[in-house]
Parts: sequence; C-alpha cells; structure tokens
Amino acid sequence: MEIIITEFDDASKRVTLIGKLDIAGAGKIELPLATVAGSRKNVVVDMVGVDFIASIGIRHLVIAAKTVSRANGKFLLFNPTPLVTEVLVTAGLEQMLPIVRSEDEVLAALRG
Amino acid sequence: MLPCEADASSTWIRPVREQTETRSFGMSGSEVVAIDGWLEEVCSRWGASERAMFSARLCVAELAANAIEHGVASTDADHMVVTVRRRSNGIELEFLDSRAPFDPTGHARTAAAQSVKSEAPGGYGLTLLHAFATGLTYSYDGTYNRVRLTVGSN
Repeated sequence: MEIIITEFDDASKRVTLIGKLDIAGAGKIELPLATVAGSRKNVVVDMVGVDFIASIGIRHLVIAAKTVSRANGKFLLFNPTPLVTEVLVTAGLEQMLPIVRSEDEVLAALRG
Repeated sequence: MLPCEADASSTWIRPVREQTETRSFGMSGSEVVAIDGWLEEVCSRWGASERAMFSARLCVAELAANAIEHGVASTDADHMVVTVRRRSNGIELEFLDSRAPFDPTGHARTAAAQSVKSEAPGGYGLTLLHAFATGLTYSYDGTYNRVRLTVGSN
C-alpha cells in the first residue's frame, strides 16, 4: 500500500491510496491518515488505485472520518472501484463515507 | 460426469475440472497477507472471475483477522488451514482455525449509526462475510473451528 498526501486546496488535503487496503495496508496508512485527519482540513481520499479492501481498512477510514467530522470538516472518498464501493455500501457506510465520482462532484461537496 | 458451466462465447457447455488446494498458515498478520497472496494466485490460475476472486479473498481475510484479533488462544501452535475448491457453481472455501470455539456465522453487526460522529468503528467484517458468502456453515470438531462457504460463479 502506498499513501501520497498532497494539498487539494487551501482548506483540503488529498490522500491518494494505491494497493490493497488489507491488514498490511491498513497498518501502513493508520498513522499518516490519522495525522491528516487531525489537521483540521477537509480530506479527499483518492480510492481509484485501491483494488482490495477489508474491514480493517474500513475501520481506519471511519476513524479518520470521525476525526474530520469533529472539526466540522468533510471527508470524501473519490471514485472507488465497483467492488470496493460494494464493500463500503454493504457495510452501511455510504452516508458516513460519501463517495464522489468526479472532480466537479468533489468541489461541489466541499462547498456544499 | 464432470459438472459444466456455460461458455459465454458460444452455446457450448464446457466442463469445469474440479480442483482442490489446501495450505496451512501460522496465526499472525503477516500470515493473513500470505493467505491473500496464495488465494489470489490460485484463483487467477483457475481463471476465476474478478468478483469470485475478490469475494473469496474478502471472506477469508475477515475470518483470519477475526481468529487473530478476537480468537482465544488454545495452544502455542495455533494455526489456520485454508482449503479452496473449484466447483461448477463457484469457489468453495473451508477455513479452519485452532483457536477456542467461536461461531462467526452467528454474529453480524447491528445497523450503522446515523452519523459518523456517533459511529463506533468496527464489526464490519462479519457483516461482509454474511453478504459476500453463500452457504455459510460452522462446526467445531474438538480441534478446529470449521467454516465452510461458497462465493460467486467462476
């Protein structure tokens, strides 16, 4: 699992994840994702490159979303694959971890 | 007689050669990664669909993580045994672990909270197991927790 953190705009960070969000991948993102989530900025997690996700990976996303939410920020998932999307929806998290499919949707969600 | 599956490229029905592979793993996070790599390799070699392969990997990852994180140790040599069988109706999996008896098929998470602020993160694994597997059964034979399930068509 690779994690790349960049600025999205003045108020938001983009976290790009690439690889498997399994027990090993979750361990690699735990600290950097928690740090970004605590930065009091919106967080957009680019999921395009995540080809597998298990519950331990979901847990870290939810923990980060809770942290961002406590600071009244927004936490978005950008374009997960259909199977990863199915996992997130099956877990009942589509409201808590909103999925956006385009840059325009990201901007609208951040402004909304 | 061999079981058959429809060939999407023609009206022919071609036989599916039933195959079985079994491997033992230790009880650690790195072994969960090893199980996943092995399952991916076997399913690819068998030409399983993307969905069947994903579902197989997900279900076994959840069972293994559950055994490691929540299972009560029975011995210093606790381990997991995974058997994967190619069937005409999908991939059949058997997951054994030597932890203390625990039936994961009888546990599913309650509904998610209404807001992320009130959500208690965790408990998603068994919900996913129930959703992505069919024919989920559990037994304990005095040595192993034994979970059997089937995923998608291959």
